Amino acid sequence: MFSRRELLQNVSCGFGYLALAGLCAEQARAAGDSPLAPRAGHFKPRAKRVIFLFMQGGPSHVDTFDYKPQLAVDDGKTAPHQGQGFGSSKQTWKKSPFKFSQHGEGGLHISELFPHLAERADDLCLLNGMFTDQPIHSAASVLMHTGSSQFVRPSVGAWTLYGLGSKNQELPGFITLNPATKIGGAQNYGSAFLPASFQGTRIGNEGEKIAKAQVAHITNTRIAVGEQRRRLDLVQAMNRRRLEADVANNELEGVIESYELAFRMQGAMPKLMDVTDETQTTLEQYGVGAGPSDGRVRPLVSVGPPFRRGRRAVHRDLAFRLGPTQRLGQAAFRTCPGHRQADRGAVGRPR
Amino acid sequence: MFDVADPSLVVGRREVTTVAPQALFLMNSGFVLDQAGVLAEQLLEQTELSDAERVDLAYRLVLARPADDVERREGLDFFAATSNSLGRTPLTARISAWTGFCQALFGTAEFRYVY
Repeated sequence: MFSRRELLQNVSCGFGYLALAGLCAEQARAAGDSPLAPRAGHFKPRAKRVIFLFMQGGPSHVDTFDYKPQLAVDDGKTAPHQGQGFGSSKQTWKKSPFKFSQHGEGGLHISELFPHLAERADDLCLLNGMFTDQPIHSAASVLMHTGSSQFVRPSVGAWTLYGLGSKNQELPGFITLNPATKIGGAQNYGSAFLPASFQGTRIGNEGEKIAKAQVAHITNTRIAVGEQRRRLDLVQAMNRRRLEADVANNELEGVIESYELAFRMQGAMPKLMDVTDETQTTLEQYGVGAGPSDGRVRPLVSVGPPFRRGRRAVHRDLAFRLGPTQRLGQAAFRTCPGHRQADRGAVGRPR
Repeated sequence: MFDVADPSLVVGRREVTTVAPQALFLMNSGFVLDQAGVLAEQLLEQTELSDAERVDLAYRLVLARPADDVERREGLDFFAATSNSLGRTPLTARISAWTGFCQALFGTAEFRYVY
């Protein structure tokens, strides 16, 4: 299978590629600076940062934020879509065992599982219009993050960075904390056909404690910074020479840009991940030290005085634990928009 | 770190992440520095070769092609600049310079990707 660039390089003795090289050079001249420089949007922005919590394995929406009164009415009745669940016996509708009530001035329907969150109902915006057509985890995860499970498309963070750039040039504009290696892996925070410098940067590894999450190899204990810069200049000279010969190669540009960003990150990152200079109130507010989440998102969101604040999308996995009698594992996706089918295996709930 | 394709998905071309953590690995990890040191020693053991010939040998070993004139010149300039700036004995400065050169070769996009 050829990429479009390979096609242009090979067909008609590469004349198409000459044209592309010319176009790219013009574009580069017009753009001028780094691909991560901030750009104005079409609207005046109100949000400054996005923290995207991808909480896989969470409880069903019908038990938490999606109130389905018709489901309670139809409880126990035979579902029309047979054969789509696990096991061979008849599939019936199953209502939520949790009570819903309305909260705040907006009257949001929130289940009894979130009494504290419900108090903040007027600060929340609930979007109950989500739809999926994927029954398996990896395809669904990729659909969630990129908008398509069939085609390889850029992640939402990559689009944001592509469109808006980042104010802070010393740190990556799109980071992901302890991302999963399965369920789609790097595709969830990839840049697909966008330039490679818009990918998400990984901090930490799946399964590690988030408190230990650090960018790997951020410091060099064996050579001084001056020497390191000299070696880096040599590598970059080699890479740039290659780029001159192959102007339209955005992977090469990604490599070059990644080295420069890496060098700047060495200075900025260790200070950023260190929360010891935050006040105790701040630490408590963000839950630093408490439980699985450990508030590690905090330092990345609010970059302290020495640095300029950056716009970034953060994507993170959390294990989600429900009330005392219920411990839900991976939730299978429900395909029926109106109702939910009872399943017997994956969710582990008594029926 | 250098991503494996998920077998349950349409992946198309395997993701080629080219982000800062990979650059940091190639710049700072003990593994890469050790390997660069080993290659540098191998090159310096060839005492009958001139420096320019060693540069050529390094290119052949790492990138499977000879070095052209520009690349040879660049390598020699790098040694001169490095050796001058390090206040150590000539031998350790030389090993350090060659280690740096080998590390740079490992860091090139050409070494990382098949074009």
